[in-house]
Amino acid sequence: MSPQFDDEALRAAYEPALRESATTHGPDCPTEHELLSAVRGEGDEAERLRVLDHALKCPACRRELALLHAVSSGEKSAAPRVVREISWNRWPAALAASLMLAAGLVGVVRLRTRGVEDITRAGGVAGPVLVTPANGAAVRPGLVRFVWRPIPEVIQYTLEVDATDGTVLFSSPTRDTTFSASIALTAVGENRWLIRAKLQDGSEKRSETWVLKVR
Amino acid sequence: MQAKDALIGAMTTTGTHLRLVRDDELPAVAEQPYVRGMAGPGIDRVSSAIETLIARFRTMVRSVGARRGLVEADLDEVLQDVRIRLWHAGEGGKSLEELGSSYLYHLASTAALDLLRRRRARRADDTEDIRERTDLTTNNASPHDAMEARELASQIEAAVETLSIDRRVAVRMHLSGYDREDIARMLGWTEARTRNLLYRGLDDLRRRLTDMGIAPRRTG
Repeated sequence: MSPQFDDEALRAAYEPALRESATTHGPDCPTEHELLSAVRGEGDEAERLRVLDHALKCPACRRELALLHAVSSGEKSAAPRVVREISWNRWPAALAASLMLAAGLVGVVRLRTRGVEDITRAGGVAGPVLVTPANGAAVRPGLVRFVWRPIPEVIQYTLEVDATDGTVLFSSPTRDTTFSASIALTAVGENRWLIRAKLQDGSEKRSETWVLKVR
Repeated sequence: MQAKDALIGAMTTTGTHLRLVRDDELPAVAEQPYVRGMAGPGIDRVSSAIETLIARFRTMVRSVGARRGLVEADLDEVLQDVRIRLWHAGEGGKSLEELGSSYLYHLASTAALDLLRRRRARRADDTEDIRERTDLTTNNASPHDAMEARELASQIEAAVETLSIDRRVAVRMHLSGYDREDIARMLGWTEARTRNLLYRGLDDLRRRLTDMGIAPRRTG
């Protein structure tokens, strides 16, 4: 019996299919408005399935879908707010406030959705709890020891260190609850780290995301 | 885009509001309230605030799109349009209560739609600069390995194609870097339904691949 693909191997093996690049549309391609409606979850389900089914395998549509998704995914979470009348001469302070609000909203929404996911996935059990490096801790490039608490029914943990722009700087699977990772000089700055836990039933749980400063 | 750059090439401050003017609307001799280019402390301050806002927004959008095939050049083009629309909002004398984060997302979505519409209309964007791709990684794969990798990917794609449409879409989204929140939101599914369809789809896919005699490549 030949071995089966695990999730990471499957994604890695499929990746070349995503590298195909073309920008010419065919007659079956959905319009840009249909793509945006699908991204926003508007319209009936059958139509969304049709649009996404095509868009994900068509290189031209896939690129457009990625753009529309990226620029509009925070649209609903960024709720309008009421602020006092501020003149345009006070833009810098007001925009800074707006930025903080936007960043805060994104953070809150991410935490909230992750919290809900963790509870649903885990049947009431929380995801891995991070121990060290502490949230916001500063480390130097080189070997950094990461520690987290175990959770039941785990097949494998994956340590992931991401740059603030979402780039994955480091990712490695392990069965242990401690891992010494080599953090490169290129990671200097503020990063995030988390643990993804793959469970026996095939589901996945995530820890919180902690800030890791590399100096 | 150059025409639009020219549009913001000249600005004037009128009281507490900004107004955009085209170069050809400027008086022959520049008068006091008009500032050419981005000079002047008021203009600098507003410009700097917009740039800060754009930079932060760009970081947020990139973090969302990084693993889902977002092409950086597309994002830059959209943000250039957003920059101009922000200045236009100033032209209309709008107060900041209309310029919250939701307004920014609205501007970006509209700008992205306009960009796609323009591209499709002119059908001239049929080439792609390799530097545009954010997901290109340097690797040392030999041509033979690269060809094998493409062949494996196309076999997986063929196996995906045999799945029922709901599982197929969930699996394709997953393999394309969209997470379960994305899948649930776009398809209007509950988290439980999303999880079930995705994992059943992945199980189906693995069985199909096994039936086809396709296994992970050995490494090391």
